[in-house]
Amino acid sequence: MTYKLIIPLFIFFSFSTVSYPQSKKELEVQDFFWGENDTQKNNTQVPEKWKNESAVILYEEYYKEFRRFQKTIKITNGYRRRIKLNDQNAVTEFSDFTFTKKFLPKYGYHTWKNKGENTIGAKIIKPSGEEIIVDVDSEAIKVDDEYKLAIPNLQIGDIIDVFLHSFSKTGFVGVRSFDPETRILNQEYPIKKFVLKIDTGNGYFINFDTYNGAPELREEENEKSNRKLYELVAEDLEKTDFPRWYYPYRDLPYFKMKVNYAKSSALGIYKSSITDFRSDDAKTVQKSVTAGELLEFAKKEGYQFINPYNDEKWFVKEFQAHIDEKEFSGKEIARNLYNYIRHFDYTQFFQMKILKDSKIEYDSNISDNEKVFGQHKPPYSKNFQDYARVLRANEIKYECIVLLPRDEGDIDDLLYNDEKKVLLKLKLPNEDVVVTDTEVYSSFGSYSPLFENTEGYLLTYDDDNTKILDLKRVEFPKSSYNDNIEKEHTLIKISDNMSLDIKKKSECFGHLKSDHQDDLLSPFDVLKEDYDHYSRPTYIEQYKFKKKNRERVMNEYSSLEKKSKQNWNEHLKEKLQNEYDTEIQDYEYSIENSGRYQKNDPFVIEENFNVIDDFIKKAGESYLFEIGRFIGGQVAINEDEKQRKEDIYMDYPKTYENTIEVEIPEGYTVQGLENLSKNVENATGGFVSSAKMDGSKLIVNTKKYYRNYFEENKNWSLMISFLDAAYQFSQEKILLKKI
Amino acid sequence: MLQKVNVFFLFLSIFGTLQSQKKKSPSSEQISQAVNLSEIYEDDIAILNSSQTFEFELNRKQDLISVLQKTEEEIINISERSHIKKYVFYDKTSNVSEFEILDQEGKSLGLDVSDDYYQSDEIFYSDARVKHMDVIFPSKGSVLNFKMEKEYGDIKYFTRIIFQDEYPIQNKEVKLIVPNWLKIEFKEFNFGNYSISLKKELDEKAGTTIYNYSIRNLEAIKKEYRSPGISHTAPHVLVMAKAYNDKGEEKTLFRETRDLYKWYKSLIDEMDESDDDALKNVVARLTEGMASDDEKIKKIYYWVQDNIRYIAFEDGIAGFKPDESQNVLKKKYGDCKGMANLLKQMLVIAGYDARLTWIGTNNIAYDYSLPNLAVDNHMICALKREGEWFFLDPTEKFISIKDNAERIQGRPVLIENGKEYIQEEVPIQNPETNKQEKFTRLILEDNILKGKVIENYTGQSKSNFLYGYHQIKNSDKDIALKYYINSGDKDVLVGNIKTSDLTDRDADLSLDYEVEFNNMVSSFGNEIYIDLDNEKEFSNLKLNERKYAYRLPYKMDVMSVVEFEVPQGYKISTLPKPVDVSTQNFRVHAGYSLKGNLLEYKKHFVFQNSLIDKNDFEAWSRLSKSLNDLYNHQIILTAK
Repeated sequence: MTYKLIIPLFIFFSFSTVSYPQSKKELEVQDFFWGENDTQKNNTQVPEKWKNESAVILYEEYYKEFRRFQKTIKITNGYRRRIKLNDQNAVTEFSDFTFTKKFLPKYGYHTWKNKGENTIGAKIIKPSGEEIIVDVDSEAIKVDDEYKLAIPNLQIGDIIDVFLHSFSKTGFVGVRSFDPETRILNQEYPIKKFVLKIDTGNGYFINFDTYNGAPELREEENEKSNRKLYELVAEDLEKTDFPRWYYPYRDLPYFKMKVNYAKSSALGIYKSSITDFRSDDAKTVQKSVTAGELLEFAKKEGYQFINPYNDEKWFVKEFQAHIDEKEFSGKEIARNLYNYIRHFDYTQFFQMKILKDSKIEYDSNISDNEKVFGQHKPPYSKNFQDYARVLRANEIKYECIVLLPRDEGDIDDLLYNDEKKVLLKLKLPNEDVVVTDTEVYSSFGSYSPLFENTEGYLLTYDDDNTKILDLKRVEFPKSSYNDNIEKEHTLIKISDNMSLDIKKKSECFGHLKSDHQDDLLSPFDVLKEDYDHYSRPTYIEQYKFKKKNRERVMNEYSSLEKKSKQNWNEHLKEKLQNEYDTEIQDYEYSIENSGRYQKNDPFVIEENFNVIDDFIKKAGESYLFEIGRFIGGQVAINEDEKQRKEDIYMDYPKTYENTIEVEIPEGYTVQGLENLSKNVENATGGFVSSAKMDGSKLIVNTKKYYRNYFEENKNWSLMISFLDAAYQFSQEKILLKKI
Repeated sequence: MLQKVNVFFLFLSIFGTLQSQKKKSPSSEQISQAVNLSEIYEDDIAILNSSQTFEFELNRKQDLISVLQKTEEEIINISERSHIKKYVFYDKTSNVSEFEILDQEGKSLGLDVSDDYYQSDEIFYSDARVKHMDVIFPSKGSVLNFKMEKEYGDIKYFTRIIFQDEYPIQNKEVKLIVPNWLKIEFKEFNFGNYSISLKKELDEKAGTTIYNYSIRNLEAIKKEYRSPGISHTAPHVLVMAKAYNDKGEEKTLFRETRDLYKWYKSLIDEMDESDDDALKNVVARLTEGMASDDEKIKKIYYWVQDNIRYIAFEDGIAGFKPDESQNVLKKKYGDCKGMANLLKQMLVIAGYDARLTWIGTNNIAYDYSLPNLAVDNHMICALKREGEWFFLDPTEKFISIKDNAERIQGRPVLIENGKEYIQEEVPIQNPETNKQEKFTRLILEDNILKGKVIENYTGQSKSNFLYGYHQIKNSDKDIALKYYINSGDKDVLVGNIKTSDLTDRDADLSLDYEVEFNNMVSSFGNEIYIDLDNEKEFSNLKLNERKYAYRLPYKMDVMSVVEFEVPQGYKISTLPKPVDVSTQNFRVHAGYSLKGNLLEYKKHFVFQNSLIDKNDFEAWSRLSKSLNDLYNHQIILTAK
């Protein structure tokens, strides 16, 4: 999703610019934004309702122009913001910025000579109406490749009007594809008027649409037959603060765009070179992608997953050695192949990557294999293709799913190629299993929760799985809060001096397993596990070092591993300290099961630690024990958040279960168990807890669960009720009463 | 996933534009040396041997004395693996000619050296540059050598030699080869219990005196939150180049403070302050209709505080020379010198005796008995009224004219006075001037503590509050105020907040509000357990493991009184013992007292100095223990 934020991040503090003092070009650019035709000259008034806002964007404009000249496309990006500064915070925020004079264009091969150039301008409009143009060239200070500019004479009540004009060129051979851009219209400050202008000519295929009530892009009339002008105008945009549990792309007005250029003479020849959905005719804006277009695209772009450049035989043979068809069912073959692909294409290169990046050993034989941590470029990576090949060799049938991640919209919002996701659905004897591209922690049958509970398209194949037959719309399955579970079992011993000796075992399933694997499993653990699992020599063991060098490499690698383990231990300790909001001591952990080989295997970690001077408070001869804190920090919904207006978007339904066992020290009884019994359950989720004594042992059980992926705002109060119950539990104390 | 894996690699700190280093495993002696050192030091690496040599040369063309520094270090890795950055700063007055890492045979590893402007959040622009390189020590006992040569073009910018490093040093030799034609003094600071010895030798043949400092077992400089400046802690020598003899003619450098002042004065004399029409207009507008001098001065002082943005520039000579007042007025921003100059000029136009004033903040351990450029780091404006000096620092925000910021209190100042200078000291204010009081009256209702609170702020507790408050967006101010009061705690409900005029920096500041505390009361049987304290001031201030003194933001005087009405039908059987500690530097009382059905919980913290010195740590540690015991103690109400 990061590429989608290009425009907002581009604003103000990171942009590049150039300006040659008094140059004709600079004056032209200045005139373009602020000249006689400036429609915003008199835009100085803030609507009454926004008088108390820190700053108000009176006008914001993005201008994008593409011009082809022979074998070059000239790209102009213009940006202008006119901001009324109502308080000190706004003056501070908009009073200085950093820019560079030249920039490396994104497209094509570039040298210093043809770097992109930009121009920046800033002027201040005083409340009296006086306009002061900032002399950027004399005010800005060069700091290495950047310039720093402190805007002079800026005060509360002023309007600052800033523009950025960025110009670059790119060569092309027949076609050129430009990066997609997305912009949520509502931002941190309210916007009085927002304008996007696109100026293209013949041969530019524009994919563009607006969503969630954003105004449409309109084509503007113009007299030149070789120009196409488009404009989007939005007004009266309230600010937004992006609350928790929120997918802004499902709720706020935004636009998406992607531009591809194809020379008309090359269009026939290079038709397949625009790897994107496009209208038949560059004059028409492509607003969506139909099922038919997607089918045609998949056929053309190789969704048969056949690698014509690779000898299949040795490859398949390598994999067949790791399965035994007699012993395994189809599902187990598929799973074993998947796990082996993960090792073969991915984790077996970890050690090599570590040696290289840590500068322990590097020569031409240790290449920076792109498969490792590599560029998983859409629609699928090489290891995805590898997997399809070995599935075919084992006559395991599959289909292909195409969808958009849930937080980015529906499949109907699909606009360009890069944003879609591709998965395989295996047709196994008794069930269908969906798999994604292999990654470090990916398991057979697991995938991003953002692919769930959404609709997509299913590509079907012939019996050989080599020819695409058809495409149909399907609903992607949901998981339940019973699938995604974290179970924590905490044993607490209270010593005579009231310090705590704690052993905690955490078992995680489903999407919570993936989250914990990401957070808690170090690549060194993964590496060792995979080499052991496949009984393969490690990279260092395989590599032909000179004898003396081998010793050095092993010694330095071992040092790195030890240091990494020390750091990792500290990292996990800090995570736990944050979870309990306390200082812990004597921390140790062990991974009991990485959960990487079987989907249903949990990720299991055991942690031992001590806590001194916390959780227990003196009350005369007795003690208050803050036992509720052992379920970890809970979501605290304060009064302001209770007034939430937006719907609630969450990644997946889930359950957190806790069992807390406390050995009660001799000479004390427990009071207040009734405070530990909560029961709030409703359509959105629940929190249920109970406590009982078993001899001298106190046993507390809690369960908190979120039922759904999404709740309408009207259900917010239901969510609050169980969230509050969980929070309240976390604040509960029991009395260790001195007998 | 790509990002997640990369996070791990960043975590190992092994990315970067590092070049391959020569491959050689450490010897068993080196490994055992590293093991021994790792038992002494917590650091990743240690400097086994360090030598610094300083030589002086007269540059007759420019009439300047240059200083050549040569540094060599032998560095050993005492942890499993280390990745460090070696760096050296320089600026327009200096240059670095050699900066490299060598293997044990003396062969350069050819590591990539980056050369960038030094950038920090505090300084908008500085001419300081930094050369830096990444150095990997691949295993325990790895040894590498570091070599650096730096030249200071003008001896006046060569102000001091700090012996410590960010890594521990086993042996260090600092050799200063002083030619006979140079009159120089070295003033030693913070040598304390460190093993440092000085040997002075005459080399008659060479016509030099060699000062040789030998240092053994020097611990690393530690970065600690709120520690005093390095000149207060690190062993170092301040270099005072007094004069030199060139072909029989003695030329003065900074022989005494008046020479330092003379140079400062020459810089301010270069300012062109003649174009003051705009200033006159602003002053006239601001003071129009005002009869009282107090009002006029305040108006001008506060206007500069509020309307001129502080932006720090440190650019060569401009780092010492103030920007002209009309420029600062036009730009509406400036550094401390520019702001002080604008304030001075405006006050002079308004008819007052205002002067530019040099000062070293409390971050600096020196005073004006030492003629050296490191003595000061700040400029303010001094105002003389009825024979008395007042000190105005326009870089402070929302500070009343009655108050001086802690960082300048008690500090010596150099006030401009024509050819001479006046030396004064900024008055020290009592902690009482910064009083912060909180009065809370609570009752118990349905297991919730409810009541009213009045908070009062004066002095710097007030200016800190106001500065923070006015930095917040207008639209967020109400929420921020609530957040300030309840620290974002969902269990503390705040309502009906009334404040004094938050634009008035002269009047005392007050907050008045209603409050409800949830989860501060627990009932078990016929007993109720109450925690009356949701603040627990200074409970987390743990000093015993610190290496350096702790600097509070200002001399604090914090008082809180909670009055709790004991509900009818209940009694309080026992109360925890009060805490009463009084040392020369701080005074703390915290305790409960029962008056009828009113339980009073009073806390009062007074810090006579803003610095909690290391000598106080033991007393603070004992106090902290008993304070936290008190904080952890619950009040028990028992049904009668």
